[in-house]
Amino acid sequence: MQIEANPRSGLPRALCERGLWREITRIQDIWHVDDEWWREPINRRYLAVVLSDGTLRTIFHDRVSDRWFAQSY
Amino acid sequence: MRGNEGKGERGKEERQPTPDSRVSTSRLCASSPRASDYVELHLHTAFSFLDGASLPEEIVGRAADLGYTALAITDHDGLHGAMEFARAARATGIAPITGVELTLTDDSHLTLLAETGAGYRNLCRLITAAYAGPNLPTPRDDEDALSFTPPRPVWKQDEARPPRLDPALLATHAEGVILLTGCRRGALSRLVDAGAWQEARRLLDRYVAWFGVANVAVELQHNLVFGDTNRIAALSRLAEDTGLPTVATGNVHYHRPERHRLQDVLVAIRHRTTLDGCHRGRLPNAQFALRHPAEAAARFAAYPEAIRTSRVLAERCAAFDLTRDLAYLFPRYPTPPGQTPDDVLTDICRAELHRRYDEGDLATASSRLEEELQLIIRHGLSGFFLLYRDLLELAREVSIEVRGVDGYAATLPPGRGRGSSVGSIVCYLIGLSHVDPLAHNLMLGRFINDEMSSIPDIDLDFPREIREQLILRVYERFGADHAALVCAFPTYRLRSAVRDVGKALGIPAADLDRIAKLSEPRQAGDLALELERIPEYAARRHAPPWCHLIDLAKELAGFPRHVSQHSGGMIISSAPLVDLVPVQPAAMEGRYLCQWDKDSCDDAGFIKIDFLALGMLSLVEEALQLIPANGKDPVDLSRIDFTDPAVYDMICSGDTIGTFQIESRAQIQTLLRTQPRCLEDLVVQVAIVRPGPIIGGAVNPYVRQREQARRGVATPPVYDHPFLEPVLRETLGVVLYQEQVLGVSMALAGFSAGQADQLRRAMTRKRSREAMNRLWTQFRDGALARGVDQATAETVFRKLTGFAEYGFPKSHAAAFAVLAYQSSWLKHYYPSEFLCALLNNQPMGFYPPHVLTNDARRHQVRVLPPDFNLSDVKCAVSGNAVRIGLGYVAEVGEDVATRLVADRAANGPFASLADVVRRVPLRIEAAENLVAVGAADNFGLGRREALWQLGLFLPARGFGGKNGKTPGRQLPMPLPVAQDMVELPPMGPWEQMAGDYAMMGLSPRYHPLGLLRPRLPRAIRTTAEIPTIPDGARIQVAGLVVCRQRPGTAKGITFLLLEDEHGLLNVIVFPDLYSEHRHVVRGEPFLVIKGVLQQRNNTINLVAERIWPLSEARSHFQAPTDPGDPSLVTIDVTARQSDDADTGLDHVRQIAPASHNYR
Repeated sequence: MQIEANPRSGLPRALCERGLWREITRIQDIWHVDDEWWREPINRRYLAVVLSDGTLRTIFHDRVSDRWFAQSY
Repeated sequence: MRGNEGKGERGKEERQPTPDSRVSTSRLCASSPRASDYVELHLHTAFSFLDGASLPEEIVGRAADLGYTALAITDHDGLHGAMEFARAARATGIAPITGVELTLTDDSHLTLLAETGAGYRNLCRLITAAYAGPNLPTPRDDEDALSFTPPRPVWKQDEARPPRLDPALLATHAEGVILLTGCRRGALSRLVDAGAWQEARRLLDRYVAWFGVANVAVELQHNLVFGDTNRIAALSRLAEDTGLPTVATGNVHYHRPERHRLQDVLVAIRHRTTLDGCHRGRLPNAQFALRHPAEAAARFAAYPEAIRTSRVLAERCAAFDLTRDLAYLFPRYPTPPGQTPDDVLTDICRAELHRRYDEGDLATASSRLEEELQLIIRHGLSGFFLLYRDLLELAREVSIEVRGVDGYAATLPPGRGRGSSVGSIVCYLIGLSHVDPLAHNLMLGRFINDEMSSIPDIDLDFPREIREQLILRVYERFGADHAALVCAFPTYRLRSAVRDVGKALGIPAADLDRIAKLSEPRQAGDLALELERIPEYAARRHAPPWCHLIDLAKELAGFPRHVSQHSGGMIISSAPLVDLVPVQPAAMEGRYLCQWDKDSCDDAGFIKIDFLALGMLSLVEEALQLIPANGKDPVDLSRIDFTDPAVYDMICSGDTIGTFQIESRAQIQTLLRTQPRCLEDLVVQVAIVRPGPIIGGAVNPYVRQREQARRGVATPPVYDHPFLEPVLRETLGVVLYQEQVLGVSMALAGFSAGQADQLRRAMTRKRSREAMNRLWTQFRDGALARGVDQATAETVFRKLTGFAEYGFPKSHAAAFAVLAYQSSWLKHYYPSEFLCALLNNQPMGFYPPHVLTNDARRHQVRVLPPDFNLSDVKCAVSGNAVRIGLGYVAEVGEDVATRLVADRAANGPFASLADVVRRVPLRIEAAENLVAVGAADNFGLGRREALWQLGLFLPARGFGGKNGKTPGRQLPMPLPVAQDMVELPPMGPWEQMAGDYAMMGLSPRYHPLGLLRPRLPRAIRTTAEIPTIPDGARIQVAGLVVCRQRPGTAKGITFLLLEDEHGLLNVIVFPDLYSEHRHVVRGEPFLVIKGVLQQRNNTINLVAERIWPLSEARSHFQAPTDPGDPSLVTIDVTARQSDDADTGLDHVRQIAPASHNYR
């Protein structure tokens, strides 16, 4: 997933879904997961974000690969 | 939705502070926060066992780096690390706050902080109550008020239950305590998470009613865990509604984020599973580290009050300082009207002086007594000595109960002193010591001196059975609230770290066993080096999981594993001990531990009384009872000849296996060189083979001097400085005794006796770096002022530090030397009684039982197998024979053996094996083991036949009770008749011996090398031949390894003690050979060794050049070219002997007892 981040805070301010850029208006929550370091380390920063149309998304930054993903439930 | 719940008039009313509030809520709401306002108030150390992943000193060090000025410790359900934490924090200028995170009976957590002394006492009582549960000590009538009402018994009575506090007790223990509402597992968080707003309000109302509104704060934790944001928002609203402040905390579990891995591993260890197996128990991320205050302030930017509150609460808690505010008092000694404890002690000592000393010595003794009494009176210690005397009287009562009032044992003293107190004439006169300090020229200063800053130690040794009872009687005498045992915290070392971390990482048990077995028993941090040396692992050590094992084992080094009991220290207090430190039940029923180890108790100023169990005292007493029972004249050990040349001849020949203190391999080697000929020499001997003198470089110079003196070519001892001559003349220039540390620092650096004792104490403590630095400065300055150059001062100080904690005081060595001589005397004159007592008091000493029996056989003692009709419960002596007891056999135990012996006494001898199983209920394992070691031989059956018969008599495993573990009773059917019986070939010697070793750890009849000897080439020499072989000869030997040592002080040299059917041989393995054959040297029970014989200075050693396991050796000895050469006959130990079932080498390995682990 493509993300446009705030250069100062590193927090995302827009995300791209199916080729369409959408503004992130609010970050509701942030949480971290560090796990399975003894196998394939999981080191992720999750964000619950509100898009400009009011819809919610959960996305995460995978710190091992330095890539962003959408979390599907 | 939930924000509006609970808002009502009732809530408004309850916001009012309660009348007993000492601080208004306005104190909690100051100006806008600064980063420096944040104080961490929720912090776990490694003393939250298997949860906290940093040691107190690591946390404190990090906190100092981050600029904290105050810091709380809130370990789970205990203050085990509180004193260590407080001392470490004070040392770095951080104000320590003492608190705890309690687990309540509903499994929720609650954080409590001590604001005042009263608050601290309440914490201690609450923790004690949480541990006590149903096994609680009954409060005495004269005690105030703590109701120890047991909480709901959610655990079984007999299992080690986790501490759980009944929340109802909080109400009566709220004074001086600040309550924080707890972490995610707190009851309040759970209610908020569940949306139970009303219940959450009610819970807060209850807290406020108990603690007062000024003393409750709603705890906000944000560790970037899913749900934290919503929860703290809700908690904050709830706090606002109830008029309570919020406080930000970090739920810190480690000092740096990287430690989250170790924390995960600790959780896995705690759950006895792998990391994969404890997913739900682990913390979800690495955000539980101590944060920079600025980071904490940023995390709680939306809740500035929560940051400010942490500072306000910390400032309130600063009023109580654990390192300063404990009110410990030793119990007062009751005296008759008109007399002080000083009068009583003086009267007792003066009266006893005239009884113990002749006219010739009276003046000297009297002068020493008066000097000591003056010191004791000046320090106000008379009551302390008298109390000790009373305890010994108590021990005498216990001794009479245990030993009975009749017979020889009743005349024995109940215990004897050890340690520095043996240097005191007062201790000698009031019965605390059995050694005359004047006769042995023992110095007092190590025990008591003019400037003493703490109470002296008095250590008392008791036979095991008396000590057990005595501890219980001390509880009775002083009350369980006033007495507790000192605890200890066993720490992780290499092997334990490998096993626990490895298991958490999912490494197969076989690998872990192998690594643990082959690894040196040193600190866990050495693991990388260890793996590098093991070929199978060397290449893999950089890849997971091995790299994790290496890193984590290193981090885990030094961590406390659990709470254990100190070897004998007890604290007795005049104030209830539970007001000073929490008390928890020990593993052994009826005993209680205070939550501090000896260092923390020392820091708290507690007086520790040491009741130590000394197995050798039990042994000596038993031997003294066996002597008359064996038809010989009774012996009074206090009246034996302490100058008997025959006993010293035995000692000087190194024939000391089984004796006290002088039996080890290293001791025997030294004895052969030092040749002690009197008790004074034995005092040196006991003191010299200790890590202190070895590391301090004292052994070789001393031994050389002794040897030269014997040859009449002695050169004057060399002293590092002429000032040291008066102090070290007695020990030929080296430091052997702790008293000499005092003497040296006084002579060289001009230390006072008090300063010198401070130095000694600092050296014997675990955490004393700072104190040592300070003392070095004083030492150097003192030495320079006396004209000693700095280099000499450094050399001497280094030697003293090297000597450190592992040296004995001379007084202690003197006490032990007496026992060493007494045990040697018994071994020499009463070898069968001595062996019998040795076997009955196992485990003890340096050697496994089979080495003891083999040694006794060489002293013409016959060792007889267990017998249904002839054995007692324990081993018994008859003439020069020792009959192994029925209870000595594995799986039999004392109860079953007692039943067998009692039935025999009541109903006459057993007529047959069938008679045994008909009359006495036996589990099949016990019956089989007894038969396997020959207990039924006298019924005229071969062992194999007898075992076969047992299968007919007794239900097989799985019958006769749950899991076959309860006694099986014979089924109601007729016993087999003659035609059911079969003829089976008898067991061969090898099979019998294997059974003996498996069931008893010894074989009464056979030595494995004796059985293998006919199959060994003649080139392999026996230990019996060795004394006749000249120095420098190249020989081969084979034997069972009974001891492997690689002392850190021996520069990588490994020592093996090899035993064959004739005796023992010391083998030296140099580092190169060791590296080449590491797994053989460390792991193989039977070895063939080729090497050069050294016969020097009375000692015999084999310097190994080649080493093979016995199983491989035969290929090296096979003779393809000259089969006629007798030295090259094949070792064919794998072949079946005609009369034996199996002598395969796998079988050889199996008989090697487990005690042959590396030590």
